[in-house]
Amino acid sequence: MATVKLYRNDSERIRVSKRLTELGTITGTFRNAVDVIHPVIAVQGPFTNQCNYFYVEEFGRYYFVTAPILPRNGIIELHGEVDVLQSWGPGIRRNSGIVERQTTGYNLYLPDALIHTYQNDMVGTMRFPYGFASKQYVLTVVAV
Amino acid sequence: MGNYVKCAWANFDLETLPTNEYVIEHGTMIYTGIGGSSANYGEHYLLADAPVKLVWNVHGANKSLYCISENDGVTIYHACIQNNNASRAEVYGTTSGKGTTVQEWFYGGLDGYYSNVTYKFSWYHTGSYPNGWTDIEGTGIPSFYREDGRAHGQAEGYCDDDDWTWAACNYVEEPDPGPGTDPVEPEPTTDPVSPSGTIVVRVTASAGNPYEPGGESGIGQGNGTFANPDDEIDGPSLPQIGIADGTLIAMFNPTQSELNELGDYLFDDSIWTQAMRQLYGQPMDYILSLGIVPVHPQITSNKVEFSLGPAPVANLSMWQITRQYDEVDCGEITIPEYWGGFLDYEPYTSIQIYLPYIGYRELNPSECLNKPIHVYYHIDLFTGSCIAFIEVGGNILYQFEGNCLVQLPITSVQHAQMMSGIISALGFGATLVATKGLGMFGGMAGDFMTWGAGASAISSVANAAKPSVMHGGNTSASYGIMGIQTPYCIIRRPRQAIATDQNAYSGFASWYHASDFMFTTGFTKVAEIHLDGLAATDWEIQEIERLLKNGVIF
Repeated sequence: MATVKLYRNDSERIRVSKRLTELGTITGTFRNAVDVIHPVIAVQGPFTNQCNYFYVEEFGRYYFVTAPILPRNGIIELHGEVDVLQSWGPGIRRNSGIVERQTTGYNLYLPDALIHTYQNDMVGTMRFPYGFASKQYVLTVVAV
Repeated sequence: MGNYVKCAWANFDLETLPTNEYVIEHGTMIYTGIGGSSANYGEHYLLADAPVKLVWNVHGANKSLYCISENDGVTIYHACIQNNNASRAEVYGTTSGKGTTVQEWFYGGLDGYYSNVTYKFSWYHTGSYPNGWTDIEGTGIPSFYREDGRAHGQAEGYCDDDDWTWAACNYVEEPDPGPGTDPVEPEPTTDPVSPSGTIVVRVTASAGNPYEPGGESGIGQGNGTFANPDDEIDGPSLPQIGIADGTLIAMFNPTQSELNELGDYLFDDSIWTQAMRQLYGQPMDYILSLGIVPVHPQITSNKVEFSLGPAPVANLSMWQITRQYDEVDCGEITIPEYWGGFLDYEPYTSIQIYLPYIGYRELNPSECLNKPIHVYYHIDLFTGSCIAFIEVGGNILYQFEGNCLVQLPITSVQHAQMMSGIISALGFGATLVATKGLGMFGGMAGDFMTWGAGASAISSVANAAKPSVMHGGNTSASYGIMGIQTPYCIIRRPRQAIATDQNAYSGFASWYHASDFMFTTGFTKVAEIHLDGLAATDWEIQEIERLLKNGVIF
């Protein structure tokens, strides 16, 4: 028995933890060998054309729907591609790494090639508070 | 169940929780969608499979979200939340009586996103499951909204490790071996922006890393001491020696009228004067130099009798200069950072300083920004040599030399030499000889020539070089005395072009070690990661690494 949960995914593809709206659950059996990474599953059950994402409980993985779902004779063929970020999100979060770019954990003193600058620079001036305010004669003679 | 301690992390979707009581599976991730901006007040308890209550407390300015566990009515817990910008909005306390918030700390506030906010909770509790829980019904959905008006990515502050909930997790007595109960280590100690505006990335030193202070360096791995010397480089005091003490030479500070009187004396051709010159020699021979300096020298309190050689100049007295060297203090300025980042430094930003009598010089922004820049001159009144000291942050980092004495010729020979030098300097190769004495002391200070450059101006320059007014023998000093007399800096800065929410799309540059990504939110690009602990296929592992290195959104 295979259990497939249908979702509508409103998140970016590269988001690790996606916002999903569950649309329904359908069950069935695998008749043929199924690629876990790119499964094509024919199932029968309630369907909504808002479905762009599904979860196969037996695989423990989430999938993007990569091809239109075409119900025919009550049979739905789901073409999926595994979403590794959602499927392995908790495990990914537990890993460590060197962060190169971050939305908030940044350091502005690191040169950033994605910060562009206009060609026309700003020019400012700052004056010191004091200067040479006096002009005086100096006469030097031989002392006798 | 006996005494025990549990630690766990979980995210909650407060909006989608259907009731006020929920069970949290340890380690599960639930996503939030907190919206609205009204200030509701409420306490909503969340019951886990352990005696844990989730309380959100939204009232006035103290918007908090924290966990409570109780042991017979005594609350003994800490709780923590983190907002979507990885700056921590933290609330914790030790309270007695549930729902009572004793202490609250907000680091950074709940910044930014009103919806789809992922909050992370850490919680722990001790003791047995309390009896007699009484849930207090709250009102409304907890609302968090920005109050400080800051832009995204400008949350400030940080949590001290001691304040963190997970510190309390160290008190584990009987760790729960169940899934998802692993304690979470503190977030990588990155302070996005400290209150002072300085961005700090705290790096945890580890033994054996030769690039960290204190690390062990092996053969061929460098022998740096990581000791940055910080000796104070004080400026020198004025030289206390000199020849202006009246023994060999004497320096005077005459007024215009006194110079006129001296001129009358020098060119007096009366019989008496001629007789005196036959006796004592030519008074002109005793004059070494006459010039103008842009400083008021230190002088005697009273005028002293003036003499040229053994012969006193009748009825002429002047202030005598008592110190050959003098100082002019121009004060200090501080050039602040404008962008608060790498754009404030070279090669993006450049600083020039104009120093009177010296000219324009370059300063290094890395050395000078955000530090007091103090400029002062030491001047040799005898030669006119001056040196400008630029003291940055208390240390002399620059010193430039120049000359500020406008020499005034007092004989025709001196004048000819001076003019010859000027003409030669202009490239004419001609020698101009003045043939007669000039009315030398009339209106000198304000009438120095301005030279027009260019070959076509030879004749006019030559004509102009026949002045009835004395010209400074040192052209640089002459130009200098006509120039701006106060130092100033010219700062050229870039203007950055940043798209709205650029950091949400591509992040900003960072470089730190994330011990995990439990707290990480937003766009994140990983430079290096070695995934482990995943039961994924090899293809999936490679795909995850590829995605992380291209950038994902946590």
